[in-house]
Amino acid sequence: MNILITTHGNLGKEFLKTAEMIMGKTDHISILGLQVEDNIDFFKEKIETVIQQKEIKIILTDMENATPFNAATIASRSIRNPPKIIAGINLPLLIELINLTQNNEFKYEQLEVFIQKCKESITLYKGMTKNESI
Amino acid sequence: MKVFRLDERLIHGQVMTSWIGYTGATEIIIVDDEIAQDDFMKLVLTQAAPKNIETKVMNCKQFTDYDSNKDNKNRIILFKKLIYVKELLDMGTPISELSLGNMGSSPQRKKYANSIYMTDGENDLIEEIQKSGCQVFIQMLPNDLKKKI
Repeated sequence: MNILITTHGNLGKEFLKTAEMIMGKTDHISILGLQVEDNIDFFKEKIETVIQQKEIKIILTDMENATPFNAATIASRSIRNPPKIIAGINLPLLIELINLTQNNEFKYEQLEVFIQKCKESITLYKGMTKNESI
Repeated sequence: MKVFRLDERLIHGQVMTSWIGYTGATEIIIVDDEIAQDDFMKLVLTQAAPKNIETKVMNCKQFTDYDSNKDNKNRIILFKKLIYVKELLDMGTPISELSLGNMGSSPQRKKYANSIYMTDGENDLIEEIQKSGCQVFIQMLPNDLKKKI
């Protein structure tokens, strides 16, 4: 199952590089970064092309309602089976998603549960404080 | 205060927050004939606005009707395309200044400044807009110097 990561700048590229440090090489993830000078319509077209050529099923973006996210939603509207779009990429999420999608058995229906689980990856470390409250 | 601004990314993050702070705007109006008739695009674009700001998408005709009700609301008028700036001017909307934020690069466009890329046709449009008495300048954030195009 192919994935596209689209973010501001080189965030996506670096996320993938870092995830691959931990997980090893992947071959099912494409990256598109929106640079300051990019034209939004042209960027949207690039996303559309990647979705079609790679048969992208899941798009990861860095922030809801921001330009890369908007471009992904607009690019997906003309696709027959539009990819699912997730906003708010982080490293645990990407690693987990690589794990799940490396073989082709991952089902769309699992996505909501997956995201719910990923939200738990943001934690406040309490190990140093004697008191539970800050 | 009314600010007319062209930014292809329309309502985006910190940039728009600064302009809202600077103008005290309570509403943002996107003027674009194509987006105005596309409910999906309208939804996507207005979702990006801060919660306390009212966002409207209008076509040129709707905007001139709306704007002729003289009120003193602070507002930001946002464009994605230069042709609609020209159209408003032709329809009689007074626009004394237009700030350019982002016109991104594409294979058909040439670089004029950081984050400002234009086709020859768009450059001609800028000249026509300036001839109509509207000053066009490049300015990313409200406190940046206004740069002549």
